Amino acid sequence: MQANNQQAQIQRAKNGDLYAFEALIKESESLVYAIAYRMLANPEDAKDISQEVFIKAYKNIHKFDEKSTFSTWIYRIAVNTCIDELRKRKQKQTVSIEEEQQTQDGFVPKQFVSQELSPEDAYLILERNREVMRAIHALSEEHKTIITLRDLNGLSYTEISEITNLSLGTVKSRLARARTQLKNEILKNREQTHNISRLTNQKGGSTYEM
Amino acid sequence: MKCEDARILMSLRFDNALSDTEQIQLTEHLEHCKDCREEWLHLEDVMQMLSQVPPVVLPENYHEELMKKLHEEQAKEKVIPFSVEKQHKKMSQKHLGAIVAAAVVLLAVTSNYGFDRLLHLHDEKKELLPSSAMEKIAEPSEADSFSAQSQLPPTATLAEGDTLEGLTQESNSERSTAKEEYQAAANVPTDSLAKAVPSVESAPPPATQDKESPPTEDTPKEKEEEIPSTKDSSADTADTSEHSPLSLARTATIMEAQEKTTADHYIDLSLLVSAEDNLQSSVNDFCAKHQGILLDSNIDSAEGMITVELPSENVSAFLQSLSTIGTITEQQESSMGVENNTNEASALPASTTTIRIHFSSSKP
Repeated sequence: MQANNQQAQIQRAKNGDLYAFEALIKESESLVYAIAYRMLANPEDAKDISQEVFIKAYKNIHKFDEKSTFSTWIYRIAVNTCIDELRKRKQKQTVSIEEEQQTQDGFVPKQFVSQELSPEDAYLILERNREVMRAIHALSEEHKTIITLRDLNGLSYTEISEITNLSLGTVKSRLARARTQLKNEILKNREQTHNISRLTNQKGGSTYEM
Repeated sequence: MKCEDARILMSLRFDNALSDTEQIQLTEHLEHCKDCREEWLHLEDVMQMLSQVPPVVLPENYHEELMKKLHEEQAKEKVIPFSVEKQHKKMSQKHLGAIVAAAVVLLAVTSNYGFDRLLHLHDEKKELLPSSAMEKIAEPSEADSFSAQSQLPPTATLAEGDTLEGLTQESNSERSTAKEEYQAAANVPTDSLAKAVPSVESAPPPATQDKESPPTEDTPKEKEEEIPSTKDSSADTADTSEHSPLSLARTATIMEAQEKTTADHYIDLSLLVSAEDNLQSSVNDFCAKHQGILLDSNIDSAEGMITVELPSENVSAFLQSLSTIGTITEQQESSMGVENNTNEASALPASTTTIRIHFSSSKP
């Protein structure tokens, strides 16, 4: 969208023109949904919350000061809304249920398991996806946010800095810490799995139950 | 180099964001530090896992569902009258002629009936200002500071000194305010005019409009843009009144006149139809027939709401047309959210009426 055109659309949207607003959000829908999907780790919530993001934006468009691009503003609302939602959940302690859903859900859409992969490789990738998503799920909101933006959606440091209102330096150091944390979480989970299987073997069969 | 710093460089390395020097520093560190080498291998594995996570695909019909929700949201907002006004703002530009006419009528009214009437009108508008003019465009905090301004103490406008005899303290301020506006109209700006801006009445400034009509078209836009800004609104307003008390005074007047003429009349009606299938196209036809504009339509299977705006004189004809496709079971009229319209408002030409048709279908 051309800059002038977009500015005109923004003005129209600010005057309540829903069609102008529609034109503005169209290109950010995918990423907003993707952010919500990765942060909330379940498709239903991702849909509800991401659509809530756009409704919020529509209701508050008069507050958009046009200092950033419109899409940056939308992504900022998306990130904040997801963080709020995660904090709400924490209070309600529904995390374990979501985690359950997460693993059942499986994070690999069928189309991704390409035909070139052998079934074994496809399964391996699927397992590794589950492993990394489970670990991301255990991260703090801040770390989850930055991993989602950078590693799962490929946003640049500058874009992340604008969306999160963090300095570039903070983005870089937080990203490094988040990745280390993610690695620690994965290792911890592997350790647990290892211990469980060891225990199972000691019991002499697959009868072990958690 | 400390391991801590090396960890950040490692992270940057995965994003290809290292300078040549940093690259050399990191390589050197890894050569000597076993812990960091191990860390690097683990991180490499994690980064590979992350890169294999598939992109998220937007669900089917996502956009359609979202737009449906947004339309519902828009309709919800419209139930509150001031939001409907917001919808009308663009249209009200068209009615500028009518606005000026309305203001002139007000001027005539006030000069015929004297200040009593002006005072009465003013009191009414004071009440309306925070709830209608402000809420619809300003955030709550801004609305606060703004309405506070609209109720500036009378002393602020008393400075000019005037014929005060026989008038109460409050009417003093009204009187002097009006006088100052006449001065303003004659291009004699005074300090107190700027302060008096929020209480400017529709009466005097039309004189200014007549003299210099071109700028009037721009001023309401200016005003609209100023208010929602994130800056401190009181500072904002102060700035504006400093550089151009006149234009602000005019703007305030036009804003008020606009509200009076464009969104003053609402009719809510419940319509029972036998089938909703043709409702929208029928309403469209009626709009075309009676010079109406379809503002919004939110039809969800067996019920919903359609909002139309049309010239007031065509309302009864429109309702008659409506009754050919269904039964009007309930009808309620209101003005600017206040029922039982006051005489003052009806003294203005009520140019348009907004009709909200809440329909339900008798067919399951």
